[in-house]
Amino acid sequence: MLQQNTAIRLEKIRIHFLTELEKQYLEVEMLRGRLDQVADHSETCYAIGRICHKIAGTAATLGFPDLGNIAAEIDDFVASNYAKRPEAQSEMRDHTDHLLVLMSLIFDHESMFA
Amino acid sequence: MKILAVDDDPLILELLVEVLRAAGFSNLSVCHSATEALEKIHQADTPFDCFLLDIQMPRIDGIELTEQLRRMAYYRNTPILMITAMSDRSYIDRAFAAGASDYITKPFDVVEIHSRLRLIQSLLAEHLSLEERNPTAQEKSPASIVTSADFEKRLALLDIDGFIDYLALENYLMQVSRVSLFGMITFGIVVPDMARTFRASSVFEFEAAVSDFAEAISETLKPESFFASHAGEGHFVCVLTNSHTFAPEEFERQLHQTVREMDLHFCDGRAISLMPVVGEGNSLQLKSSRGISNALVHALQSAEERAINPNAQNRAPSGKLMRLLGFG
Repeated sequence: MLQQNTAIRLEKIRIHFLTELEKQYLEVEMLRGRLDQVADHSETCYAIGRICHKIAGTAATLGFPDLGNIAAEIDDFVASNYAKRPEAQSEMRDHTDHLLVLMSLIFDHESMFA
Repeated sequence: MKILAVDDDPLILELLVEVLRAAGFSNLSVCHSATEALEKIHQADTPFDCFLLDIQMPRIDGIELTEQLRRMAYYRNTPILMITAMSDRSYIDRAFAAGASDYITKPFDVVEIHSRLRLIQSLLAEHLSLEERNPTAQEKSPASIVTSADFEKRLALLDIDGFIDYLALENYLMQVSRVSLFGMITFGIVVPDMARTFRASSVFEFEAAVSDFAEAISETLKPESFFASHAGEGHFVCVLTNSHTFAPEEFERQLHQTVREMDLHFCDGRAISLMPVVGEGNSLQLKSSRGISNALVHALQSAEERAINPNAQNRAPSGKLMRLLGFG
């Protein structure tokens, strides 16, 4: 009974995570667009990094290890000195595209089983 | 066990509540910031037994909160687990230097967090039963009977620069070994005269002597970045965190000099003579995880061997040690 209750509560947290992820997707998508438009991308990178930091903290524990890994990679990348250089911009775009694709795949998968 | 978890991410807190409840830790309070946590701590009727802290939080971060907790007399030795996504070595170093007992990186593994909390719970129970049987030095009257437990007890010595609890030092090494062991050297220090000092003093005087000697170690190591711990009796272990060479004879000479300059005395004016022996430095860079978990034992073994035979250098581990480590 205790295990069943835990499973129910964990499922609620997972749904909460996915609801947050939808909002985060929209934010990342908007920030990704800004990476193409703005010359100084450091603030945009920092904002993406902050979102990824949050995702990386919970995704794997809630059953999304790949999403957790790419989010952690971006978080580390933004935290590194290399990310501040102008030549890092294309790498940041690639990482962010990868993250958005992975997020969409999760939404598709979840809606399929909803 | 009364636990307080602090994280600015509500999802993490929700998750922690469930994960801990599933393992039977239901007495859990949560806070979304360090400021809220400090208020809750001050208002609590019964103190907390354990803290789970995130590092990256706005305004006061988890490391600063750890420092503030360690300044409160009641929470000087309370287990503090950092649960954080910050896996960079600089964060690990800062967290342990501030007084963290252990460090778990997010995303946390449910089994790992359960096992660490169970270990803390059993250590707390052990500590409580020890305290009941053997009150602290301050609580003892001068006429109290001193026991071997007073001699073997590991003192945390958190007031001394670089000193952390022995178990925290073990946890630090295990955590750092996942990131980088570059520039890390361990060594042990044995003070054979400490047994004589113990027999000739009260528990309070003995603990003061251990603390003074730890101060001498800290002073002598000072230009280096390091962690050190008291390992009970007259034993100490040190970890240099950013060095590539270590000359035990030279350090031993400097340490003797520092101890001489401190001119240590018992309360009644008798002089305390301490002649430390320093073991070989052991680079951790290419060590396996088994080697890391035994690094502190090896460091002390080397110092003990030098205390017995001052000319011994890089000797093979004794049969007893090999058996202790599970070989042969």
